[in-house]
Amino acid sequence: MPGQRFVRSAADVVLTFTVVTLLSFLLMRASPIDPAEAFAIRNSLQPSDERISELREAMGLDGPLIKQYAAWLHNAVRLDFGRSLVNNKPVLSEFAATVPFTLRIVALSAAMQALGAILLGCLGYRYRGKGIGSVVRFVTVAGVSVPSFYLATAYLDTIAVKLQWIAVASGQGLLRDWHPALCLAVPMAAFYGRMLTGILVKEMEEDYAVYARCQGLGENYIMLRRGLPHALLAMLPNFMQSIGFAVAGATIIEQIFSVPGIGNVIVTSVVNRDAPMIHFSILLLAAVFMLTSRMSDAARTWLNRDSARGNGQ
Amino acid sequence: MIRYGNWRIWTAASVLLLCAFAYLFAPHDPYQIELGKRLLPPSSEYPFGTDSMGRCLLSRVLYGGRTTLGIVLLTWLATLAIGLPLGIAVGFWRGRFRALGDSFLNVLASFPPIVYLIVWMGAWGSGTNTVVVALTIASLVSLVKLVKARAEIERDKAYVVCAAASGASRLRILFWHVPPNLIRESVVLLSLISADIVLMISGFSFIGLGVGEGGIDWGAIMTDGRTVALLRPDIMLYPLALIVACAFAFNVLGEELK
Repeated sequence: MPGQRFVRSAADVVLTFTVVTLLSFLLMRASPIDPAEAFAIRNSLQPSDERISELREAMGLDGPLIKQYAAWLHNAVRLDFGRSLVNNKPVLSEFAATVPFTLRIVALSAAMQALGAILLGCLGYRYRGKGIGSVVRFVTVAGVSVPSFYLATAYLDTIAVKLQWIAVASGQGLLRDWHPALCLAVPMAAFYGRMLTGILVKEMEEDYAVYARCQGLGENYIMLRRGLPHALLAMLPNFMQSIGFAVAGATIIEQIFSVPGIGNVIVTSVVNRDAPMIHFSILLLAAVFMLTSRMSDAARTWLNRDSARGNGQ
Repeated sequence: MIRYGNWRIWTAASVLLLCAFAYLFAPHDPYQIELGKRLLPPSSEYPFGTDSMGRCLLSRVLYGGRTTLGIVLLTWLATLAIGLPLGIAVGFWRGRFRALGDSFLNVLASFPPIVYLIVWMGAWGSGTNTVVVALTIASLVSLVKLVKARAEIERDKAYVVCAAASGASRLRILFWHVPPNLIRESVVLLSLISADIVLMISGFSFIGLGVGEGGIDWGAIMTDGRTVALLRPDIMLYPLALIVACAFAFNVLGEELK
């Protein structure tokens, strides 16, 4: 029933947003740090108590929690997410400026992840038990274990500072996004490369591969034309979900490369306890994850249906 | 099955234990600032040399291990203590609002741990306690999801039915009979999560969030080291080596226990 499924999905989306925003409100409220006080201290060294309570009222933090939440929700449905406590600019425009940076990095890095994973996975399968295979295995395990923030720093310090191949501060557009994207991609490529090898080992023992061998097709041909597509499809749902996670995972890399992306804004607002910005960032991340996990679910359903049909024939 | 002669498990476990408890043998006070002894090269008194404030680097690295693995250990204990019974209870639960509970769990599980960490630090500020709480909740969600799925299978197994038939109370089944059958998979899950946790803690410390002022953490040592990377490039390498070793050890532990 397509209609019923749609209603269910819509209900899930609404539930998610409600739960997520309510939780972020509760969390802020339960915090030992008073945002009004923090704000006052940031702006004047020794604020008076009246000033703090004035601010609290101005920030709408004096009412009961449910009232605050209702007020926020009331504005949020009209796409008004309040103003940043730090620079008093609208939250939405602060975030809107950052989205392209992060999206570019994440998209580029997803492409690199896919290419890297296919390369590593195929090499790892083809040469398993041999010298090259061990090297690939070492690379994939090391790639998962080396922290990406160190990779990024070492990369930056070597390529930019010592060799001066890239200018860190200047430069715009795709060329500049390559570097953070690469650092973001390495651990994931290693992770998926290892996973791909594992799946290939299994796939290449399936009936279709055996038939292909009986037809006298070469092992490389079977792997690339038969096994690989199957394996990649099997990995697709996971991969899609991890693209969503990369938006959050980019936080640290963005900070190191000084990319003015979503993660950077989130970290800044976390440091400044900028409640409206934090609420919105949680909402934004929830939206991203929901989108990617829906996509991944859809891919999974589609795959299952496809394979069910394949078995039926 | 675990083969008790499996050297990989033992090596991984000893690496982790060493990192966690080696601070007991630290030669100096990791907080002791001696500005006269800044950036000394490795010597017999300071095996790793001193950092930009003249503090003994070896001691700091060892105390960093206590912080990082202490956080992981507390997270494990809290997650297992809460997650196992909770997950089993949810899995056994056949109440009316089951679907709603499932959706709620799915909502929480759709966030990666890094988000819990960011959000919690945004609300409560940096600090070891914040990190432990945030990571516990993040791992709790994955654990409850896993345990719930397994418990739904366990529920219909003969031993549960027999226990119920022989008069065991619900709580006894929940806390006594079922957990031993699920603890193995829970530990595997936690091991694999822990590799990420180690990387995440150091990553956040590295950019200045994380354990906060005064805490010693591998990420924070690397931040210090980066400012003097041209003079003493090796400072960053000691904590790095231990981060990699721990992440690797957790991965090996998880894989081998599977």
